[in-house]
Amino acid sequence: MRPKPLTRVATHVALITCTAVFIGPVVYAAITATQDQSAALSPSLALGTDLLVNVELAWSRFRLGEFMGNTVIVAVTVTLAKTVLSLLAGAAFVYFRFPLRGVAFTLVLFTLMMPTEVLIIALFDVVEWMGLYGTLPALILPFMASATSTFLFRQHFLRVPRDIVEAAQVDGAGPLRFVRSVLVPLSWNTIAALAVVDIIYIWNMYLWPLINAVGPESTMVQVGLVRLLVDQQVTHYGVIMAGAMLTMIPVLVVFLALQERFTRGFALSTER
Amino acid sequence: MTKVEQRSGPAPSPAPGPSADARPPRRTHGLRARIERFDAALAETHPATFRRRSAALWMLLPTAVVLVVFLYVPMARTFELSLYRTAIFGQQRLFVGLENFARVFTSPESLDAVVRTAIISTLVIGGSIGIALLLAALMNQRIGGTRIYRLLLVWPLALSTAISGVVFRVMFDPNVGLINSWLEPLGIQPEWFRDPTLAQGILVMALIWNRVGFNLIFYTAAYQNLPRETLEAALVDGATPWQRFWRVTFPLLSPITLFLLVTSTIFAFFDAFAIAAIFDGGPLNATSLLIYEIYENAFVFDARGLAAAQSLLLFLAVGALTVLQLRQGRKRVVYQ
Repeated sequence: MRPKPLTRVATHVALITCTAVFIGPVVYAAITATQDQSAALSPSLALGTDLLVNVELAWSRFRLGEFMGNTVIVAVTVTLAKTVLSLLAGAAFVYFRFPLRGVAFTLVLFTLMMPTEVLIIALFDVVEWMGLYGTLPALILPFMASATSTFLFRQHFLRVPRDIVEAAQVDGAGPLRFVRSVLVPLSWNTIAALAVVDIIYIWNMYLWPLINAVGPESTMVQVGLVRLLVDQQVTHYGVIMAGAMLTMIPVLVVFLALQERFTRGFALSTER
Repeated sequence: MTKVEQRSGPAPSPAPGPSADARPPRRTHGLRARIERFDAALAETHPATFRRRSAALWMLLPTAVVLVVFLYVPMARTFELSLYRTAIFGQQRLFVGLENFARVFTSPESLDAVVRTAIISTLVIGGSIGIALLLAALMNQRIGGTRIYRLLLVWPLALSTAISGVVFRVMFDPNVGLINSWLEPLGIQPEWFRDPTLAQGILVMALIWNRVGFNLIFYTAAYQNLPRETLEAALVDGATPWQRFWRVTFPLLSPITLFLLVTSTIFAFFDAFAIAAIFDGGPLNATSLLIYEIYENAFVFDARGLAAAQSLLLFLAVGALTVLQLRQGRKRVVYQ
């Protein structure tokens, strides 16, 4: 049953208003990114012609390209590693019996309560002690395992029909071949859903990347961009906004590509 | 776990959820007991597929190593640090017992930060979940155009929290910002970042603005998987839209709401650091959230013990909410 026409119009009006409020700042940033210095330093909302100049300045002169490369390396490595590690751990919890399995699973679940930021002081000590402070691995290694992903993969595997598993057993597949040729093909929706969340997570990280940003080789793009503004390295807002627009592209691409799978992946396994 | 996706039709294997009624429990409460019960139920429906236990060890080892080295060890060290007063960034230290925890609540600056964090977080959590739920409900009225709204509303999410802070900072710049140019005809030119209340308002607004998209994609996914029959039954019953939402839809969405409550709390406690840092915690500490105080105490003011105690306070809050979520999540939502 569709709502009455009047209700539909009212709903659209409400949604259009909200959408305008939500994309307003993005549109404003995008317009500023096209303006030359004097326009960007005025409240003008006219499109300028300096987009490419600003992008070029942000990308090379202010090294955002390099920082973006670092962020992409971290995001891709963490997402891949997290997927592989959690998939294996999830499978181990479902397809094996071993002593203390319940305890091991509780210990994994318990880390749900430990966001890295809570441990930031001690994490700094651990990373420094390992000699990794100020390097890219310091941004990657601590995030390679995940309670959320392990838990979701396990939930997903529990719903894999028993006869598929038994068929693989009859074939005499070993654990690794079973994971590769049975579980992985059945898990793409879950993998994609988690990849979306992981990438948003890495793109949003700030505190630890800030502490770890000792030199340009370990600076992530969000840290680099904030520095441009706060340290007043750049007073040309057009360049800063061009940088901001650049950082949106990878997340939007990932999200658009995986949107449908995300919906299906989380539909099946919901809430952690 | 609650299974929102369960539809009619041939049931797959027996529900893997740890249904409390599956077998007589040995212990009735506690996470351990719950997991033992779950394990027992699992043994019936999912007998061991592979016998070689060493393979399980190798599959678990990488996750275990990362969790121990980067979460459990730092956690233990945070507890340890919280019991000491340190100087020269940890070179010298003095055991002070619970003094740091007392300081969290007795030192006026720290207590202010606790209260400030509680208020700002509540606004951010409530606002980002409430607005996302409202938008998801509106978008699911079969009015058409949903895909376009969904596509546009996630844009702020692609802008990371720190970069959202940058955009808001520029937008509210008193001299060249857009907002003050709009206010000019009205004759008011607020100094947004010199007035504590205004700065807090922008902080809350920027955080909600940045987070709604995240909550919205989860609500939209959940909406698309609501059991049709139940919703249609409510329609036939002649319930008003308002009743249908609060009595049928909202309870069905409660597992996802609980999940978002935990993730939004983590966002408000920790990710908010990025924007607080861009505002320098000011003016007059107005945007200095606990996580910003922790950072300053640990890495600027050389008060690592106090920072560790403040961290543990946030840990307790997140822990309590997570436990609540896991408990509720294990009760199954009844709708059939």
